[in-house]
Amino acid sequence: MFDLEQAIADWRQQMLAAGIKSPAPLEELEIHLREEIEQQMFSGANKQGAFENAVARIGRTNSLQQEFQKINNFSKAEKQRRAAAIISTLILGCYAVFFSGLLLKFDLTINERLLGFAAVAAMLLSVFIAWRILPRFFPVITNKTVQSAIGLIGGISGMVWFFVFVYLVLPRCNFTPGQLVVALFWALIPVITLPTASFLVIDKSERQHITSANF
Amino acid sequence: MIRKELVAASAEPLVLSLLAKGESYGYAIIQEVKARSDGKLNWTDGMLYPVLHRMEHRGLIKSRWGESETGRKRKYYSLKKDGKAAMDKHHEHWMLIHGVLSGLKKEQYV
Repeated sequence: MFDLEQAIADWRQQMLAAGIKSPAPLEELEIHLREEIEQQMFSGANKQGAFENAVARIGRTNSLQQEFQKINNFSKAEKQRRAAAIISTLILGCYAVFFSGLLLKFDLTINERLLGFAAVAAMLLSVFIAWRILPRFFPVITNKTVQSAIGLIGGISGMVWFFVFVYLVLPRCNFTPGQLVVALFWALIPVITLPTASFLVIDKSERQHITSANF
Repeated sequence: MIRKELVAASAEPLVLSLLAKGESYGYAIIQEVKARSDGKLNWTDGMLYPVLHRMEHRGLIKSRWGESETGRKRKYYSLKKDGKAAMDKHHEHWMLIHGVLSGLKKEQYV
């Protein structure tokens, strides 16, 4: 004699064994299974037939597990992104406070000081643009090689610029100590912004490239 | 039979559009899609739930546990503000594709 409750319990065990361990999706799937069985029986199927049809309609356990795993990975990545956003904001806050403090401490003319504060503001603004505005103008890049190339170009170009500034630009300029401080502040903007922008463009692609369900 | 890539691509706009009419739950969503497509859009039932959960993670929809008239536990989903915006975007894109296809089809009969 077919025992429906036992069959449902066995199906649940199969789901657990396949890796659908979170209680919420499993409970939801079981509720769905029961509704489908009820509907099938209402249409005239016997208990066993209704159960087998409902299980077939729910789909293969491995495919379901893969889909739920993608969501788990997605939410883990979201948590990491949130943590990275908080840490980056703190670092930028510290940068703004520390460099503003330096500008007040150094013996600078009023123009130099204003240019220094403008550099700090420009740095914050450029990071904000790289974070909120720039990724909008880039397409979703799914090719890993292109993503790596963008990351590499962003990181290297920032460093190359800094070396050019230190070894080629600075020796040709006869800066006073005050002017040197201000020039360094401005020179640091691409060093920070270029890698940040390239990272955020790649991150946008990763976030929006959400694999379609395998219906 | 509709290709599975097209079925998968249409899942999100269909779910968002159904939820725009009011909150609903997995089983009812599947039945309504089936009925509205005369059984031609036949989803693998279980696959709807990862789609719903993903949309919830992305902040497009929200869920709450409730009870049916018969006392059965059910998880109800409803549309959020971002979901409405995503639905409008989907409509715009699908209408554009529909328009281009219709135009091309008409030209074939001229």
